[in-house]
Amino acid sequence: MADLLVTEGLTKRYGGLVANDGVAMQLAAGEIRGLIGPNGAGKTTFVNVVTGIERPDGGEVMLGGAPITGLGAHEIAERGLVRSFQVARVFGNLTVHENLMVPYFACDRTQGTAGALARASELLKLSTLEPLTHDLAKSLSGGQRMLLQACAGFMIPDVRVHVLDEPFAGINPVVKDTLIDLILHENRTHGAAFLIVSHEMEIIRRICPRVTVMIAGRVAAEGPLDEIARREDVITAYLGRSFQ
Amino acid sequence: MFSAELFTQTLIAGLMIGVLYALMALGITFIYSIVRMINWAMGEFYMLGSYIQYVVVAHALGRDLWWLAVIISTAGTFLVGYLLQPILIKPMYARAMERRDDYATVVTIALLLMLRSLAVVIGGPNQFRPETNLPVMWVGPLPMEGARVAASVCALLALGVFYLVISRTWIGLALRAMAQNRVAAQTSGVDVFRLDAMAFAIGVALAGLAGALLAPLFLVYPTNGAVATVKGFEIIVIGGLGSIPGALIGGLLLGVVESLGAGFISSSYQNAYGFLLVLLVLLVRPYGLFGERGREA
Repeated sequence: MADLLVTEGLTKRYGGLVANDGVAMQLAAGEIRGLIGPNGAGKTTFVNVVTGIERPDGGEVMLGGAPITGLGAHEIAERGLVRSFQVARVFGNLTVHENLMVPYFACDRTQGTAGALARASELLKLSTLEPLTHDLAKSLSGGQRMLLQACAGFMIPDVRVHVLDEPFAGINPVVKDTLIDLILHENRTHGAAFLIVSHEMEIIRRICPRVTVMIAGRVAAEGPLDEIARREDVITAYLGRSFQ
Repeated sequence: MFSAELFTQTLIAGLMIGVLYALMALGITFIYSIVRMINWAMGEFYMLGSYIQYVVVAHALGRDLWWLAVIISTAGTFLVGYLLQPILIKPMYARAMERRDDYATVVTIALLLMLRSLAVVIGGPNQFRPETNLPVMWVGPLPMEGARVAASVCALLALGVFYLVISRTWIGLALRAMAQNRVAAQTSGVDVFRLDAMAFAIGVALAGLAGALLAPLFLVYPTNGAVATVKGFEIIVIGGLGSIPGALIGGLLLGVVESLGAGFISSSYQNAYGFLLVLLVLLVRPYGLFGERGREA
């Protein structure tokens, strides 16, 4: 499979701190990849730089062979690279339904409302948010907000890569399962690739055939989780003890 | 000398001017909600609207087409706002910078001085008055200048159009989303910088519309926007910054209080009644009638 999302030598500094130090990574089309690493390893920085929230100090990001380095976040979203945030960013004073309409129409106003409505109702069913369709998003629980945020990302037409930053942090097991099903469904039916930052090793093992480990701003290892979890350098830097 | 009839008349007069106050306040609060900055040059866009109205009526269309001139003035102010925002305000927001809303606000003070001086250079310190073809109208038993009635009706219409745009169109949805969470809007694919310019333009166009509508009544001169700015901010304090219902209710309230005060106490203190109202509201609800103590991210 051709690599869909490629970063080369991606570097981001904050003053003297090098948060990302020449990160090179390739994500294939349709792949579900885990991105793990200890706190402060630069995972969120990497996500921010790749998705245009912050500008890199060096290096390049390519999506489908075209450079997207330094583009604005909305331009990157329109090109089919969409992200979610660790703390779900939903529009509190809009209804759940309106929350889904924003990304759809922001990225494609040519297809009309019929497609948007059909897609929204499909996602609301899958995410179990359907009964809350006309509630304001601020009345949702933390987990439901995470689901809504993920669905909002799925609303953007023709997304090729979803980058999810800690989607499973602090939400209850039932919502976690719903979210996993959603991710797998989107992956299967639309062929969307996922890059999932998470500390939830069980989930990562279940849905990500391969993981990338970041340590101190660099890619330290890449491969199947169980293989990587046996590597000495990863264990010392990240897990501190033998995993399993 | 108190009579129910006089009271009703004064109340109606207050509501009628209140609608126009609300227009100004709505512009301020709208720009604040989206672009997160205070535009101190609002009164100067009011002034710009009134000048365009005068020039178009006096030199092009004539007094019978005053309504077309109002549309042209509003569109003209919109255009000026839409073109100025990317030059003057956007640079503060395009790069991550601390306290960028403060910088942006200072820029609007500079803009205020520039537009005022420009008006003096072009039109001199003179007062102008665009003509209208409207006769005196009877609102119930109350005789009213036609221009005043027309201004209120047009302002109401504009508020209706504003409501429709915000609640029913895609742009309105995107603007509401942006007001609540800028970064999330951006990662949803919303071009926030373009909508910044749009929001700024819509906000100043509301001021320009008020200026055009009130030009026959309050005249056209370089500093005629100062009063409009002060009233606009009085209303914002009364209604709560960032609240659209606050701007509307606050505008009507200010109009009514001023009108009643002028009618039943003394008209020489007309501008002071509004400040009394501001003080009262601040005592009871320091964040305004509809303001929130904090905003949800």
